[in-house]
Amino acid sequence: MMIHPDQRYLDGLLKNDTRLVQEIYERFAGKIKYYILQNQGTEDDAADIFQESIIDVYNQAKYKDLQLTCPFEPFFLLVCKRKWLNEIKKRGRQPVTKKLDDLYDVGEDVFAAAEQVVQEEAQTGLFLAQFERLGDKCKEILRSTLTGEAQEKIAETLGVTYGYLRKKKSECMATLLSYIQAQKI
Amino acid sequence: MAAYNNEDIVRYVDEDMLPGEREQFEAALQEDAALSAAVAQYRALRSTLSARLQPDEQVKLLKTKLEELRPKHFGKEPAKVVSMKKYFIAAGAAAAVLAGVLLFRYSHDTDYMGSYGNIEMQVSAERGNNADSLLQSAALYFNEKAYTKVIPLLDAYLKTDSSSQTALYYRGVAATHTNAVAAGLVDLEKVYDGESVFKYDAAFYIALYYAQQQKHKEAFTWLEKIPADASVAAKAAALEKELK
Repeated sequence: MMIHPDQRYLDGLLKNDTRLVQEIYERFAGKIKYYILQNQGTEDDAADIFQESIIDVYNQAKYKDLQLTCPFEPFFLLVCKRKWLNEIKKRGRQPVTKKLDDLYDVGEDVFAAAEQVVQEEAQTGLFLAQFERLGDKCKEILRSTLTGEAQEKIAETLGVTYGYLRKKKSECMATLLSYIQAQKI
Repeated sequence: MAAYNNEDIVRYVDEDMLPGEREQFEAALQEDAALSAAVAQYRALRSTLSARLQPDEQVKLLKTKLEELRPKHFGKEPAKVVSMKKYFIAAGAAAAVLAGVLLFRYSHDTDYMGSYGNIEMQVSAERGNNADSLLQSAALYFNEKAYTKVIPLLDAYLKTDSSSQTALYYRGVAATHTNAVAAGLVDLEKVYDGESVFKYDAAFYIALYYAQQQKHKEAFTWLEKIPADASVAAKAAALEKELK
């Protein structure tokens, strides 16, 4: 599929382009604020969702090589909307009927791209939150072993045997996996 | 999956299984959907942690930038229509910076429409029905500034959905570039009277039209309708400053 010219927004975020970040705020902050205020939220909620959505898009561009094949505006507004609906659900409230679709006639590619960002970033958030539940030793071992460095060298640095490191890494990962499975994603 | 636990899954993916054990595990994978799903989940976990546990200085800088911009765009005051004089006091340095950027770009330029009126019509309807096709065709012509071709398409679209503020707004804008200016202004006023997200964009465009006609009084009247937190507020402030 053809990359949309609005890919410039993603490239700008990756380059920390000040002018482009300002442009994103200037063009879209008002619309998101309006939507969230109309849907049980506050201005602080709107600011949080807006910032989190930018970071989510940045992360997807950086780590998942997200490439825009649709315009940025409906995609980004839909990311914000989906995140806000998830937040309302988390707070135990009933989503209301104001639709972001009023803004745009949103196409399937926009839906797909926005859904990917929201789902994958939610999953990443869950993984990282469960990782933080591990003990310090486990966290240290996993951080070290996931760097790609030779495990023999890591074992030496951590002052343990290679066999112990491998065994412990498997145990820590298995524990983490069980934490995640318990969350029923 | 009963025969295998999470540690086995980790050992399999991390290639810590002996060959015979690995073959048996792979045979079980073919038969056991739950085991297969657990392996996929572990692969995703491993891949995510490998990337996200590494320090990312770039994202820290981005977060700092977002925090700096936050108060400029998400104030504490509730949304309301205020006069532009009040707006300047309330928005303070933030608006001044944005207006400065715009004024730098457009300084000494009385082609207000050329400076502020470059609007892109963005729709991405791909549901395949006729109405969506009309909207998409209209967007193509609109973005090529072929405004006379836009109007009949949006007329047809509005017959299928007369409440579409999107179509009404873009038809209004397009019409101001043709000899159907009066009809365009009526469309834009209708959008302003509604509650869609185009409300203040419509007010701004009307102001812009009057500014271009050198009807400053009318332009100011419409600019005053735009609240400080509207997405077009910075442009409105910049235009007002230019007109003064």
